[in-house]
Amino acid sequence: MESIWQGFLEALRLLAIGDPEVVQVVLLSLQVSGTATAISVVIGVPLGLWLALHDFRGKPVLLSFVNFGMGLPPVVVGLFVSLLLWRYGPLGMFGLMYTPVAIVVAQAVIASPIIAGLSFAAIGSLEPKLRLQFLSLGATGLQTNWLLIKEARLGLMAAVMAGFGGVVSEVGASMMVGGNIRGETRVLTTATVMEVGRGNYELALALSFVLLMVAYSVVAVLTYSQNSRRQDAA
Amino acid sequence: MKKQVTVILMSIFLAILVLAGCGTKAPTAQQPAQPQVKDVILATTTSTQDSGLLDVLIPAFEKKTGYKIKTIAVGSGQAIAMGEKGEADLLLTHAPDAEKKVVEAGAAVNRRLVMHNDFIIIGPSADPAGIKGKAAMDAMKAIADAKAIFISRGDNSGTHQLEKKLWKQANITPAGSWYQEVGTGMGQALKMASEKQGYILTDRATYLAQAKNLGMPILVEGDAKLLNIYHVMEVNPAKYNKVNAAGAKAFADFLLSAEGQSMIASFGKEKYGQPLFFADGGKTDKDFGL
Amino acid sequence: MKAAVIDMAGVKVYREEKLVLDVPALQIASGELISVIGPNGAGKSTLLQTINLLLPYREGRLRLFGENGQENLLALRRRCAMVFQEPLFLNGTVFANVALPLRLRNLPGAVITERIMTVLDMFHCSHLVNRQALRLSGGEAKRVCLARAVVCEPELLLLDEPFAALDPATRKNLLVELRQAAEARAMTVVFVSHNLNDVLQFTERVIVMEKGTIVQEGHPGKVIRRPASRAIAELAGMDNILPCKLEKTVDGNQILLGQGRSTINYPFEMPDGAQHCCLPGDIFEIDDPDQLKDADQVRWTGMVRQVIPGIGVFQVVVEAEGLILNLRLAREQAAHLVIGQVLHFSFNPAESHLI
Repeated sequence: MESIWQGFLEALRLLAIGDPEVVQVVLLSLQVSGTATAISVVIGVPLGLWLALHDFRGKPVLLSFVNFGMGLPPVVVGLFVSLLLWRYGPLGMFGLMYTPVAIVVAQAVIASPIIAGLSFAAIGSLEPKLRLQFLSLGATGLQTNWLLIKEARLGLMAAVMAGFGGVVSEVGASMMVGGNIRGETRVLTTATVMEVGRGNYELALALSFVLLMVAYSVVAVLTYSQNSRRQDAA
Repeated sequence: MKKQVTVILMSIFLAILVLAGCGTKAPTAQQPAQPQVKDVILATTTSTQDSGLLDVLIPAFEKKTGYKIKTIAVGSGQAIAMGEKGEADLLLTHAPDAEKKVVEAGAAVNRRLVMHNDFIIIGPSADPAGIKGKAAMDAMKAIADAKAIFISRGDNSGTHQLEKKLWKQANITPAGSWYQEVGTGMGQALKMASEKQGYILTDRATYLAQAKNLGMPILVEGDAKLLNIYHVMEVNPAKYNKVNAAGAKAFADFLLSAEGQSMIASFGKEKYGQPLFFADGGKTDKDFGL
Repeated sequence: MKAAVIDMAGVKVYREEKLVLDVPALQIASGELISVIGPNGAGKSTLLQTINLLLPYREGRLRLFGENGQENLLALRRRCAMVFQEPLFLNGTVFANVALPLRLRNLPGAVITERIMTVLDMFHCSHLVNRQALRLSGGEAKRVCLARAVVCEPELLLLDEPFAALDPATRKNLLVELRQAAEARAMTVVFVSHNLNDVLQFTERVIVMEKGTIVQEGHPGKVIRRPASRAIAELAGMDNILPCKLEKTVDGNQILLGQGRSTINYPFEMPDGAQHCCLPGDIFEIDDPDQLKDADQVRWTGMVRQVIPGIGVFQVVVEAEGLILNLRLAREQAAHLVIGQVLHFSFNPAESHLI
């Protein structure tokens, strides 16, 4: 019990003084996962929009793949990305293995289906005639899509948050393709695992604490956005 | 009202992302002559990272040469496997038998002895199998006879390879619920041994770094069989053309230089009252009777 | 004849391989106000969405303003406006919503503001301009929807049951305002409804749809008296829709009603497969039994069951010949009737309508 308390105090101290090691890991985590999320938004939102607005023969199959992708195990993604990025792998010439870019790639693979699936749900929950109404009011195809995205923005924000929350707290793929290199690919989760291995529970706790704060802010935004949507509906 | 809160939360979130983007501007310090290929991938055993030794050696090396060492800390088994596939530039490991094979196969060259410390067997202070003070093999036999809990790394690391060798020499095939293979790094395995009150074979450096959290005494030490020798090897550029041979050689040379050796020799003295590693630059296996 | 704004020929629309709209021919002239009625699922909304080029059609030809409906969809669509059954607002103020079609056309801000205020004024909702559109009441929302459709000055206005779920007074006011707006701007209007009252107030030509196709077309008065099918008869508020059988005898054709208990001599051609006989309530005349009348008249005797007062016309429910009949009688004739009273009445069989 005492060690938990001590760890907690040390965690607070490390955060309060802005321990450069901790700060660096936190910033790198946010940057890597933020970039991966941004890429996933570029891939996932249009895909979700397209799925929500089009009917075609293979749609159920494609949807089942997207839903399956929402639960892809990060370590499996890590392994596949490793196989691709290794020096002697098919993409080895780019020298991306054990770089932040490799983590971004793996995390984007993890987050894209999450964002696509939730975007599909967000756009799909809009009144289906809204799209026709926008077209009827004289909107071009692009304008219509943009208006739909704006109308579904709370749901899409939730999708983005879920994607970000998923990758920032993921450890398997980051460890495998990033290698937990100090100052370069050491992110919150891999650093936590390593500090536990070293027996530095204070530092591990401090990192976990930051991770929890990031995760909490994600959940808080989700909760508030759902609440305000419920109010709008009322 | 709720909407405003949402907007505020979202803005904070975005602000954090933006700050994160600005915050990580090239943390690397100014370097002297820039080498052609900066990144050097070092595949190594967890004990060199978990003990903190690399945190001392690498910054000094990087500052001096401008190379950037990318440490992938895994078990010696996996580190050597990375070398065999040409995915690393140099290897710092402590699994002599596996190392020799890899050199014989031509995947790694220039295997040099860097340092040693020793393995020890630790366990609960009550010592239910009564191994205190025994020789390594006798201790293993006693643990197996008593079916006392034994935690094995189970990850083909250098420590695990030595453990398997000891069982083999003692003519024991460990099996049963008392023998638990955990498949994690040294630090984590030590913690598990402490929680389960089991015996475990560990390198001294990792043990000393964590002793305060464990509450388990050293029961067996000093046996010649428990010598823990670290070698550095460069992955063979003749076999793998993508290897950063110059960088690998530079770091290996640094480890064996007077500066590197004195850093190794003094590492841990201040914190633990004794060094964690003994510098062995220039020695060969023969000096250890191997 | 003015130029046709809408000219459709052989247009077929499929949804998931099912034929949902089949229009062999339809022309609507410029400036015309036309209604479309039909039961639920008749394809009225599909027709409007097809005209608005929102649904692709596979066969046939559709010309809007004389131009091919397969090309330049955006340009053609921007000459039209459509009001859907549901309000379908953006999350934002009334101003933002009404501004939307103008912003989509990249009009300058000053023009937008001016046009919005004019059009909101026209539909009596200037006071709503800063309200959240999603929080408007039903009537307010409809007015704003109409304003949003009219604000871009369309040549063709398509209305899909815009007044469903509104109270009669509001409907009536809105219809008047809409008619004025249409006439003032020389708009062509296609008005979908399943309320015949609205149709009667709004237009002089009506298209009747059923099962995805046009079954009747003409003046609303004709649809009321001579509906094309039972569903339309019900929709049009036909007073008496009686199951019947048809018999051809040597003396002439006969309509058998009430399981054969009463017959109507029908000296006209009979449509095949008709199963119902429609008798509008205003064809009946009360007879003086002492006075003989035209022998061609059908004469029935019955008992008064209910007298429902009304302005000008009373509705009288009579049980006669094993049938329950609804009669519409002038006030002076009906006001003195009492329940249980025996009533002699007659009608001209040519007024009956077989479907």
